[in-house]
Amino acid sequence: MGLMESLARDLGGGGESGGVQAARAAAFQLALAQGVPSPRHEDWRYTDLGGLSGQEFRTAAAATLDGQTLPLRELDAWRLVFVNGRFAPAQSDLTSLPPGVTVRLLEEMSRQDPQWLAEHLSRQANPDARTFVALNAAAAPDGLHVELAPGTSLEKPLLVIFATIGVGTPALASPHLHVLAGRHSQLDLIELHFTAGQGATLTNAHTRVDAGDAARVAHYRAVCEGGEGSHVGSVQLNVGRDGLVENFSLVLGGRMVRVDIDGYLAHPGGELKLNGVFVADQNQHVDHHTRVDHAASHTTSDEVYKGIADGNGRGVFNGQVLVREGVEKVVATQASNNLLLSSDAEIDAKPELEIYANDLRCAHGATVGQLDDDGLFYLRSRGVPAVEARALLVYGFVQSLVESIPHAALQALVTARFAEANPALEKLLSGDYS
Amino acid sequence: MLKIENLHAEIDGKPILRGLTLTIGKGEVHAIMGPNGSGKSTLSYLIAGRPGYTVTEGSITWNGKDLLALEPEERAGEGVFLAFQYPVEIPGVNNVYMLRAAVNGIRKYRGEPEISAVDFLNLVKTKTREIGLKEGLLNRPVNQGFSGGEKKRNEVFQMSILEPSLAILDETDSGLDIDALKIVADGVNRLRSPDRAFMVVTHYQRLLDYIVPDHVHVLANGRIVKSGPRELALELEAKGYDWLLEEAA
Repeated sequence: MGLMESLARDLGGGGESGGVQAARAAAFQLALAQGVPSPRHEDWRYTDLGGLSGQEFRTAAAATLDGQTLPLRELDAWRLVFVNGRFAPAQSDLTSLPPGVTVRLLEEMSRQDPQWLAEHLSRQANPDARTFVALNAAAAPDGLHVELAPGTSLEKPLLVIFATIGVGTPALASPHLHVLAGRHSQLDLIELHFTAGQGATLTNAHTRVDAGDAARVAHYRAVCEGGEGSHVGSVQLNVGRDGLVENFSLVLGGRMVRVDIDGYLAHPGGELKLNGVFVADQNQHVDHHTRVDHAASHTTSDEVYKGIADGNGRGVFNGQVLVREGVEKVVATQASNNLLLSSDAEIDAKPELEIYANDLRCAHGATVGQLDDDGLFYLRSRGVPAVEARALLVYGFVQSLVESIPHAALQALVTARFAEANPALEKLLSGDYS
Repeated sequence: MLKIENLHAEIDGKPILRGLTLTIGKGEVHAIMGPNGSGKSTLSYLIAGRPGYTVTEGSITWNGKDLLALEPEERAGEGVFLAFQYPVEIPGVNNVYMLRAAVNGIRKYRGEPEISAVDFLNLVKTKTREIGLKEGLLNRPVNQGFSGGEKKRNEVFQMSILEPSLAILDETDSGLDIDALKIVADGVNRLRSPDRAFMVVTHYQRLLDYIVPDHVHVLANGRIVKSGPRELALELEAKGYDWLLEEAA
């Protein structure tokens, strides 16, 4: 019995209304019909889920979390915490959230407005939805739907933490996050995933951001699954007219991590910025697939990804850019720079451009390199011990991207990850001499 | 005392140095001149410990220590400093943090305690003024976006902070206008002391107007072909190197 068959035993039923149950059943049928992708799919060439899909995953049961273990505690933010996909009010804090923000929990909606939920799930599991997006609609026990009224601007970030708690036997968690940012609204959204507990877990997360006209959304998404935690994340970003959506994908931990980021520029003046930093060491596997769809004229996309692989780690970056026929004045840039730190590590970086228009400016580049020997010698000749010189150079590789994140707590999350691999680093970066 | 004896070195099987012998005593400034490709930079790199060279014969000792047996950072701990001809740009590594790591690396090698934050900051401020380094460059990534002159100045700035006992300047004058050259020379002259030795590698005698050497050596085809007093540099400026090469042949 594989992933889908074992999950089938847990889905359906519950206390949900007929409409919601039907929507979930349809979503599951869609996922089942498409099947778990294998390396035979072009999109999954480098990432083999065979090890996961063969296991008997069950939906993760409700669990609680000790508040002490929450990451990003020092961040001044409105905070919503979900444990195994379910809202955890004790760890959440929405005090003095402005009136322009509406927060809906899927679990509540199933009781208060089942028709809304049924439609919500059906929209997600539309016929074009990929397996894991459909599976999320079928299996998410709860989730977050946030709506910003037009003109609403949040002065603090909205932090959404999804914890997956392993129970020993393979467990599937289905975090679900939708944000509807109204016209001229502004939001910093921080989404963080982490794993605790024992045994294999699979976090199948779905995030969707719909930004209205001139809305500006900065979405920072950190994957910090640990131990036997794997992660499949599907992110959909819809940019409004003259709007700006930024996504920063940080993958700092996880046994097997796959993140799909789809950006749609369907309105003139829309701008999309995609950034990413990932680290794959030991036996970790990290795969980013990004797709930018320039479906309207006067749209801009800018993408910078930096990846590091060490040990037996494996990194994949596939960046697809589609410029549709008849579209004018498009600017699309993409850079994927990668650093290999061991002879057993591997990184595959591939830009994939599909251009059906003439009036555009397009630049892309992918590099895979090693640590700069000249830089290493320069630092050592100054008296910096080799281990420290290496730590500085490795962090230096991602520094400029990381320091573009306007939240110190998030930057600290990254430096902590780098310090884990190079314990000397923490001290080297301490202090302030600016 | 720096003692180089019968040094033979090659890179990728190609001989560069062929029996170089040179002694530099404490308190002395020696200039190494010579045509392009004579092995001047190789000599500098070999003293500092750059990987990639094979020493097939000979030795380099500094105060009796076998430098060739030490890692680059250990040589720095022994007081060796190389001002690079082409300072390396290091993206993402902040100048000041790099310097602190260097200062503490050297202190640790010598069994000394780490420098305090206050002392370090004062040291950086003092030397920044002395060398005339733009303060804005301090917190920038090492050498990135620096002009040619700023890079060279940064080398001398780092040297004045690390206070080496054996300083090698590899064509530090190239790319400097006359004002920058004077400031760089001032930085070097300020460090001159009975305990320090300098090896100044240069293609032009101009630098030696400002850093006055005790001895001048001409390096050609991988060995010292002529040594003399300061005046030798002037002679080279006037006559070029060809007469020496013919003499040596």
